[in-house]
Amino acid sequence: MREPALVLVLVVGLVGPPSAAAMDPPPSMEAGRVAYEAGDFGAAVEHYRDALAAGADHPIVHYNLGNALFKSGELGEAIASYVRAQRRAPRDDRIRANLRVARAQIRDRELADESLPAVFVPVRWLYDRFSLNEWWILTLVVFGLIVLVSVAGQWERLDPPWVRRLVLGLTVVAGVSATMGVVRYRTEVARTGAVVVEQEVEVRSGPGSDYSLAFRVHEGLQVEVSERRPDWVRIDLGGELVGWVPTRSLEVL
Amino acid sequence: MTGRRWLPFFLALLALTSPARAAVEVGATLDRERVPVGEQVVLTVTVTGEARRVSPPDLPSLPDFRVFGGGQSQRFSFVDGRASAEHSFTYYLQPEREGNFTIDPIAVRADGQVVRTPSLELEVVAAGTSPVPASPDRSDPQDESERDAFVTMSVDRDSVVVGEQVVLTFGFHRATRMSAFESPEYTPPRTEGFWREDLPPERHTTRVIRSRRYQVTEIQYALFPTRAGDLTIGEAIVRLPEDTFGSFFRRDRRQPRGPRVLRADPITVHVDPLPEPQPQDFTGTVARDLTLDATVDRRTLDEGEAVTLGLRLAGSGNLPGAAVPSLEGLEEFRVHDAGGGADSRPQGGRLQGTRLVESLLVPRTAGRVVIPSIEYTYFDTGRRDYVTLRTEPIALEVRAVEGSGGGSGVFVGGRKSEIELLARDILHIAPVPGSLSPWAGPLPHRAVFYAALGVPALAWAVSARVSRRRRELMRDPRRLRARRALERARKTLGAPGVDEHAVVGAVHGWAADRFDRAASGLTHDDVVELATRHGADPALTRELRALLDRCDAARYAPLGGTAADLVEQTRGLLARLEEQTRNA
Repeated sequence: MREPALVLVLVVGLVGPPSAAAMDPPPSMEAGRVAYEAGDFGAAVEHYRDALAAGADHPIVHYNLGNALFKSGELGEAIASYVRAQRRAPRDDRIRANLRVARAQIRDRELADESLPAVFVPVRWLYDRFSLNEWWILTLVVFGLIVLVSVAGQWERLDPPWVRRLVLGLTVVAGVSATMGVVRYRTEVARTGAVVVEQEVEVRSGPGSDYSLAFRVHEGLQVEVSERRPDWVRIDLGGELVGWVPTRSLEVL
Repeated sequence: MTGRRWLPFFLALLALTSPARAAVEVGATLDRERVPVGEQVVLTVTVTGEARRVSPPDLPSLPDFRVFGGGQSQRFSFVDGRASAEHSFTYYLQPEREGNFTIDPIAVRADGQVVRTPSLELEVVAAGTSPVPASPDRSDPQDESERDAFVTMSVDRDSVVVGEQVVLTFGFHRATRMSAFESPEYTPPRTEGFWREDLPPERHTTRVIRSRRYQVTEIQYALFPTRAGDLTIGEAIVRLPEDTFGSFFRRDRRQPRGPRVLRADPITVHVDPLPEPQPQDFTGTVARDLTLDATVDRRTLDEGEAVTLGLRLAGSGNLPGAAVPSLEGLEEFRVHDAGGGADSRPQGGRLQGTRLVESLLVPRTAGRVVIPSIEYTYFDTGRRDYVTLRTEPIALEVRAVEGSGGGSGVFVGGRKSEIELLARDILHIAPVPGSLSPWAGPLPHRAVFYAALGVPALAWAVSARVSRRRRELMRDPRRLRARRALERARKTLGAPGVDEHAVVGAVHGWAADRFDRAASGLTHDDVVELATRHGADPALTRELRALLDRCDAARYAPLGGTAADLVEQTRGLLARLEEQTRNA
């Protein structure tokens, strides 16, 4: 039948890969490597930032930039770069390892603790397997398969029990992957995350230094930005830990 | 002068004194060490700490002084999440004769415990001799009208070492009956060669000098000399906008009224260099009664994690400017600066401060590791000697993290390798790939995402509709036959070697299928009549009739080369008949 074939072509062909067209690595990437291996981490940071500015938004570039920042002592910015890299390549063991090393060195470890109840650990493991776009591509492909099987059933009278079980199974997979995609979208796109990049930041009760001091956060802590003013942003750490910090003290993810 | 030691006042109370707990500290200060007979000196007793109930001090017997109560104040603060209070009790002592006096320790009861202050020394000089005289710029100080207002400036000590605290007190005195001072302009003294910190708040008191009552405003500064030599504290000036207050007392009422300038003379402080030889590890810090505490936020941690080491200096002096303790001997750790802070506040008339330095220590190995004793050498102005402080060593338990490459060694092929992992560091950078596929943003932000969702759904809906119609058709043979009539007729006409018989058969077959009749037995008239009945217009039925007649005639006169034309004519005719009879 033509219609199911068209569906498959649309799903696989039109959606395409999650990345844009391939490009040659900019020369600044190689310059960054040379500077890094020579111990000139400050220069390496500049080269990797140049690579990003040249459009090389790739997990390797973010990862290498994170390394150079970490070696330069910029713990907060390093964590921000690792997080960006991990969002694009969630199964990369190097990124996970270095992010763990960096996060182990922040002061607000209790606030940054993301440990879950045991029942949610498998869910979290699954969530971390795929990136935002990968979850959505999986959803689209499974959705296409459901349509394909359904259309075949319409035309060829495919109605044995195994077909119904297959459709049911595919529907469950599509539901799970769509849920993961929605959660990742809310976490990474809809909500603004940021990392504290100054050693110690005073969190105030309002958007100005005249407001009373509420609490302090330290470099490397990942926070959620819930409101913005020109020079101040409101951060939310859950519970009563809500307040305003200067925009310059954060790096938005 | 003859000295006199004052006997303790509540001996019974002192007998009950229990060992002071570290949580409560008591201090006593005089606002000056030298005072003329008849003038007042301010005695301040300060109780700081976590005490909730503090009773007024029990002053010792002071038979050569007149004692006036000056009130009390409280101040609360929170430090490291703990509430702390400072209670201050003020008394005015007015000496009645010259001499050197010792004020014995003053007992204070705080939360049931009795704490005593150190003893105090006071020199009382002849009346009219000011320790640092004020000098109104244009009058005899004995002039009653000029004594309506004057300024004083004094230091608590005029010979110190580099870095030692000097408390500078500026006092502005005005007769209580004068109330018309409108915004006096104050120019603080220049203090070149000193690091200066304010000692707020301003103090407002009342004193009786030469039988006149004055309102006194005092401003204090903590000065820390930065070099040796004779350093001069410049004059302090108060400009009064208009001499409106003194007219009543002026002897010469023709004297013009106008602005007045009150000046306090400069003071020279002799600063000695720090004694030699200085210890090798001397940090350069000069303070008094300094303490050094080391704390960690936890003692058990996983390999690769960091522990926060806090080093807190506390004492009397310029602590915010004190040197940071050196973290030498921490080879077992990777050390990162984690900030800290400094705080200073006046307490007991002197500047007290804390200096906190925090560092993140990442143990290089798993197991038991020790933060060694940290030393800090400073010059103690109380002992007049160099003092070395030491913290206690702190033991940490570092758990090896399995599978992270951590631990005291690494595992290769299931056996512990000979290679020892010296430190857990980040992994190296990734090599530059041959080509990059940059991230193009979130998929839900691309139109193709919604196309990929919508097109399959649309295709499914179309397919469902078409297949449903097909199934309905399959369930109705008459309708299916009529629907396929033209297709079957075309098939007949398309066969090779078609002749007039085949054409007639195709037309009859079309009519039978289209109108659900049996093909056998149909006549030309039946075909024409069926077409007419189902909506074919007369011209078309006439054409149909002519076609069938022509086919009959051809039985006797073969068509020959015109058969193809006949087939083509039949195709067109059937198509039009199909069109006109479709809705019948």
